[in-house]
Amino acid sequence: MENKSYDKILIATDGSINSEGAIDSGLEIARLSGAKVYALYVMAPTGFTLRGTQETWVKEVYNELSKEGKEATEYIKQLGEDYGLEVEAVMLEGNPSEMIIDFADENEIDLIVMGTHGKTGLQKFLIGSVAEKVVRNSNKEVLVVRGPSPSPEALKQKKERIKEMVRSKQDVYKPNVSEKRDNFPNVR
Amino acid sequence: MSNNKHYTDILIATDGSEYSKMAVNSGIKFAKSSGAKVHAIYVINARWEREIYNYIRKKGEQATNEVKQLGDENNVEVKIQLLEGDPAERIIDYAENNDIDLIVMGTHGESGISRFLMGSVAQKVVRKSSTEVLISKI
Repeated sequence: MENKSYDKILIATDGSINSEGAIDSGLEIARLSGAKVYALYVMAPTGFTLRGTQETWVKEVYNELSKEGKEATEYIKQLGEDYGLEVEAVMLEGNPSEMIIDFADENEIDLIVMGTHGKTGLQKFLIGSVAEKVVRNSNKEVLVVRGPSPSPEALKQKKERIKEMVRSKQDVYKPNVSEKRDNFPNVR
Repeated sequence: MSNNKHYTDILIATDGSEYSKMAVNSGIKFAKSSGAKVHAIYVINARWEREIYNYIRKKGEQATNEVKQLGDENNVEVKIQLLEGDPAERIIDYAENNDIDLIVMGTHGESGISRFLMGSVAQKVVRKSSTEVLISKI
């Protein structure tokens, strides 16, 4: 048997509770194998490219993301060092799945550990699209750790928020009935 | 220093193919370093006819026995289990009903049509299982 052990483990965090399980597992595996840990946060430039975006606003989003990333990676670094592990905090900017895959390739990572969203009704569409892309496109081993399922209370609140959104949109866009008949003469 | 995560029961899903070999290696290695017990699972797809069924069953016994052998060589306890039904669903159910801490399975990388055939089980498990999933690559 090829008795290769893990030398380098990449823990990708998004700074949310969905990464907690991945952090626990990644550090435990690092502890078992004596691997070095890379704690990676990718600043995703969503919205940055919108035309006409205010420069100050872009700067603000950037600062916010970089603060979140710093906290998220330092958190892993501290936890890991408490376990006596060597941890390097890394921040990158770009498309998350691509940056994770590229970083793993360039740094000869043996194992990528990352979280996914908890289960929600929208799971099929949202679920860790980042994790799924990494599983599909990386040639490294990938450990996927599911985040906690949202509490029923949180789900209810979310439903209410969506309902509220739909209601407010309806107020704005509610078509005038007679106008509608004129536009679609065949519809009764 | 204690951590929140401990691995005591690891499920290795094998289909006897080359794609599974890496997963078997990784899973046994993982079990060895963590002291976990291994559940070697092979799922017989339920839709086969009798004659093919017997052939597939034999293949399953062979595949799981290979895991057991590798486990024996590495002082890892391996429990063999042949299941029937939809592979992804059976793997997910077994993991949930047997307090599995980690599912290990293989997939091929991106490679044309086979991606749609083989990867679908791994993809479904990653998407639906609440258990951790380790995906090995060939």
